[in-house]
Amino acid sequence: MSDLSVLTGEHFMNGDIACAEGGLACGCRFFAGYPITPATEVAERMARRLPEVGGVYIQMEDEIASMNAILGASWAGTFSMTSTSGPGFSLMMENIGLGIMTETPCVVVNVQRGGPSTGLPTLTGQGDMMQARWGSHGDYEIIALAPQSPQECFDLTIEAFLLSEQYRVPVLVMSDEMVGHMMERVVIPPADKIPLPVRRKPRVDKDSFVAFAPCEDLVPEMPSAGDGYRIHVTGLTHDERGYPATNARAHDRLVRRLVDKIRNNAHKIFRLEESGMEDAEVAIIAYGITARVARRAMQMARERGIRAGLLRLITVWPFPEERVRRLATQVRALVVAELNMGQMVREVERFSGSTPVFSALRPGGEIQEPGEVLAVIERAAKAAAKS
Amino acid sequence: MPTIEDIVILEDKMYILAEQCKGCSFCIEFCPKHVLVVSEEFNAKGYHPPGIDAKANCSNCKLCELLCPEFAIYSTDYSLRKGAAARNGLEEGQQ
Amino acid sequence: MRATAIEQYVRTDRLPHIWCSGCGIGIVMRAMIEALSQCDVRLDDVVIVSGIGCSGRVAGYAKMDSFHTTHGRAIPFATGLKLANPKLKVIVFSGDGDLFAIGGNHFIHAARRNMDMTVICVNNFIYGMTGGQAGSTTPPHARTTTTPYGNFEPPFNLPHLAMACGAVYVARWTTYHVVQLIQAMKEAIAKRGFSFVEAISPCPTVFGSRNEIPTGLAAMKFFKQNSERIRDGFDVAEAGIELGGKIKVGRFCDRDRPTFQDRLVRMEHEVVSAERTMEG
Repeated sequence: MSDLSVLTGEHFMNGDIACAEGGLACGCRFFAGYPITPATEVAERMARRLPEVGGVYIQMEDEIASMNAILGASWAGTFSMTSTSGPGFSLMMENIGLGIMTETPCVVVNVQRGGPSTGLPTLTGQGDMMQARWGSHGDYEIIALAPQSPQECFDLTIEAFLLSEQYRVPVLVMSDEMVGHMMERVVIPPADKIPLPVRRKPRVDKDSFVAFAPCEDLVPEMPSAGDGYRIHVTGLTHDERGYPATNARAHDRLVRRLVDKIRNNAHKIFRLEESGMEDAEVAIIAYGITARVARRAMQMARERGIRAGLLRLITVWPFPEERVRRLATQVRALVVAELNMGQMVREVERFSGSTPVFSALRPGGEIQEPGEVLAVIERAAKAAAKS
Repeated sequence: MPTIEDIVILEDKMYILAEQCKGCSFCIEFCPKHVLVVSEEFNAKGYHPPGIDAKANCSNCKLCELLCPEFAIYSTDYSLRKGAAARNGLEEGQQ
Repeated sequence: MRATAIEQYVRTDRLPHIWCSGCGIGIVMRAMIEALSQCDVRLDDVVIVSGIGCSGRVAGYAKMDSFHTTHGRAIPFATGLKLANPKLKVIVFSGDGDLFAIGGNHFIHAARRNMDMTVICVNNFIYGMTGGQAGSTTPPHARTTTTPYGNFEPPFNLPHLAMACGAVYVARWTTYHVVQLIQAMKEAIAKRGFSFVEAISPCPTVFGSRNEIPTGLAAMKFFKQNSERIRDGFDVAEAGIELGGKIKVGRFCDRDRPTFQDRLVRMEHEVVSAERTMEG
């Protein structure tokens, strides 16, 4: 890898730029995108940097074309990514589904903003979290990561590429306008310290290879177009040869495998960060930018004698059901802080058992004040004390 | 050098995948030498595959092959005409 | 091409295919593989990308690396393939609805950019797979399931559209004109840049049956009788198709423009290295 792809050193850069640099550092050499606030900087950075490292940048005519172009590039054997925000994310949904159905690795960065519809183009939000999970039609599982800082934008974009190749699935980086536009210290390690994603190529020759026959972890190996394997790839329900098989039995087999591929491997996919959990009576669950507010609120709560802890979801999907279920039995109350009208809190409620769940919500535009989240923690602590 | 009139069609010059035929009649209609006819036979789907008019002279133009949407009809290569296959121990498809 | 050679190009284990009796898609597919067999191209480098519809099913029968993508999106998918691996010979094979209605935007931009690919459009004037709805190429007055009183929308003139957007090679033939169709496809495949071949095809089941062309054979005879080969200097704006009218066929243009990749490479050499020299 050339020197220019890994800008080793300390930088002061915003989250969008850091996402682009993360992709470049781990080998992304194709970007197709469309301008949309607040994600445009990712595309602009890629437009400047990809020609420097021998990659290709193309501005497509819309987000639908962008999503398809990165799928095509992935099938040509290249690590590819795109970036967008809410309205573009909606446009990409059908073809994220194509990526899931055809098991095409790629990375989609969503720098969230206030929605719905055109909403608040220049202001933050976390309103696409459920859409990340359920936005495309049909049954599937997806992997989504939530960076809380420009450093994490760099690190988690790399993580996204690693996961997408490992599990042959599009991986979503659910950033937001605040993280995307804030400038912070980003440390880029030396090239030999950057983990590189590995495309799982077939180990047998073309006469023996069965295109969608899974390995033990339920993930099939993936040749590239032009390798001579002459495979057929379709968005239709297909059998292990890749041939369309539009019947209930084949559908059951395929959809279950696509879902189990992620579910069965979820324990290897989860990335969580816990603070103050050893003695916590109230646990805050948060992700992305609101996790930073929640952390301050946790400190303030501790100063007021409330034993508060923070579970930060770095992987938001798959959701860590077991951890939350266990956590609910270990604490007296749960608090979820997010910048939407209640999305991840629904997942928490599903696994909270009889432990009460409180939420500190705002629909976007501004992040909560730590005091707002503290107020909810205090309410939770009071309710917990009564029970 | 033989002319087209010297070529004698034998029925085993046309290879028809009868079960793949969907009876569209393109080959029958557009054969310039009127070699093909609608046959009396049915295939499993109820279509009549083409039959051969033994009196007609196939010139091996291969238009039937190109016009068949089903990849269901083939004519042998010119070099296998006039019993060359039997004499030279050649297989179908070899030149 | 020898009979046994078909097996190199077609997934014969999936035949007979799903297309109706009298449908022309099989002819267009056959023409494409004849053209490929006569081109100087490695079959391992050929990629077929299709969309949704009857014509889109070609990808499933072609024994090359093939991608059956979502409705209208074959062209951007193909763009990604080609740009990531320029060695690939990318052929988009799809229908009129997929390429020009839902896919219209992608067509015009790929032509504008002169993306190096060949687009083969089977134009049967209808949405066949879904039972016969009108599309953007349906001729005026045609009866379809969504134009029960006769189509009153003007259709696209595809060669005109393609040329206006910048395609460097544009040809149209019908499924009757197989020899010319093969030749056009050969030229299109060999051509650098965005090449477009329109193949007029019967659809007896859902188009012809409602418009007095009850069989594929009737349509093919019509194509034979009513096609007019264009002469040099023909104004492509006159290439529109009406029910029962003449079909203009031939090669509408064959010109040269820099491709997207030509421009990309030039930019990389001239601009990027110059900037690096300045910085260094």
